[in-house]
Amino acid sequence: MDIKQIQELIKFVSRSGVNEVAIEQENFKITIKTNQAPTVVHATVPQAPLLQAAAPVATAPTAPAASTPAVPAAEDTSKYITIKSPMIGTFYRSSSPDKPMFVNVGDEVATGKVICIIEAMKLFNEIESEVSGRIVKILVDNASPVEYDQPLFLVEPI
Amino acid sequence: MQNNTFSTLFVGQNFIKLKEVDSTNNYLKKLTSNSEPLPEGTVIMADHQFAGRGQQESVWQTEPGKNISASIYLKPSFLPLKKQFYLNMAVSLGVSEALSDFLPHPVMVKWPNDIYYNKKKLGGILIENTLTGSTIKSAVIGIGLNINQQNFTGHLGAKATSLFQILHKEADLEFVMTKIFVYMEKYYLNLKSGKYEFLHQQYLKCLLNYNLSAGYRQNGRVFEGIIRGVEDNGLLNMEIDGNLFTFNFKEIEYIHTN
Repeated sequence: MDIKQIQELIKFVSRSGVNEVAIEQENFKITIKTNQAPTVVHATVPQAPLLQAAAPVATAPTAPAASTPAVPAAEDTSKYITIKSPMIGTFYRSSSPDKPMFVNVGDEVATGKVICIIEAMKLFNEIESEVSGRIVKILVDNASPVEYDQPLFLVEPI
Repeated sequence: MQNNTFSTLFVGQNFIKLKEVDSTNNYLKKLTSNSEPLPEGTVIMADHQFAGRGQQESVWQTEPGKNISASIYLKPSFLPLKKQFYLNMAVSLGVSEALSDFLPHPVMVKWPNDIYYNKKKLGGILIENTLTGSTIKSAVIGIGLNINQQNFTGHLGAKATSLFQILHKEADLEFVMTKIFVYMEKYYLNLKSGKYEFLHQQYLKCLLNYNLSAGYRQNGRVFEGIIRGVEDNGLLNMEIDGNLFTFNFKEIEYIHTN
């Protein structure tokens, strides 16, 4: 299968309305998914001689994605409150590595509860929650750098 | 405290002394979460702090009753978050100037806030703020200073010093502490009235290796550099081979020449 054929195939699949097409030949396998916004193409090439033909696959599939209607599968987050970082620094979920996390997903937090530390230049800032609710999602990994206004937590008001 | 009642307006006016505590910062933070509001300037001082913290996991080695382990409670809600590093400048200046009163040469600050004398570490500062939105609701200033300890074991021997090692006599811990109250209050009041430029200039004056060529290490690479300044947000400016570079805390290590 050459690049032209793959492009044709992607167009065909995106117009057909199906979510996923998998084609498997003797030493070639391709899967085209159209259910979410970016079209994902998985191709595996088990044998070296076919490598040349298969190589462009990785860059080919982006174009038709736009024509694929995006299915709004994402969770509705509008009812949640986003807690953002008040400053640039490093985000910590506990006061030291051997201490428990300030909060975990599912925890209820009250106004004034410390939810994380942001450290900048050896100044440690304990961040208090300004809302009360349940932690739905923690958007930053422990010990990662954060920017000003970067979303840190999603909280469901209760 | 009898002789010192009027030398400060608030720092040290509520002075709580403890025999033993895990960490004076933790103790003070617990006090702030009680229902009774804690007066600004409250100080906790402990004879023995058995779980005092240095930077992250580095544990501060201290003999009971020999050194200063103290925490000061401040409420710098006037300070914009972007100017937070100026709190560090004010605190570093307060501590270094107080100690300079006891010593023949000025005490230096190793960026960002270690207290140095003769290129050896005399003490450290650990600042823990509590933020509500973008307001600094409170600040707990932890101070650890080597005062009357005579010997430091292991690798610390070459890196640490104490007031005793320099002066060969003991100092009264509470007297040193009251000096710290005075200078801490002086610089804190400067911070409160927005004298940022003054604080910045004073900080550079006592900054270790400022405008001097010295050895540094980054990712295992050793090089010569000259500290040329510290930015508003605390970033260090260093000239290396005629070019100016900016370093964040922990991106660069000092190489001590002793």
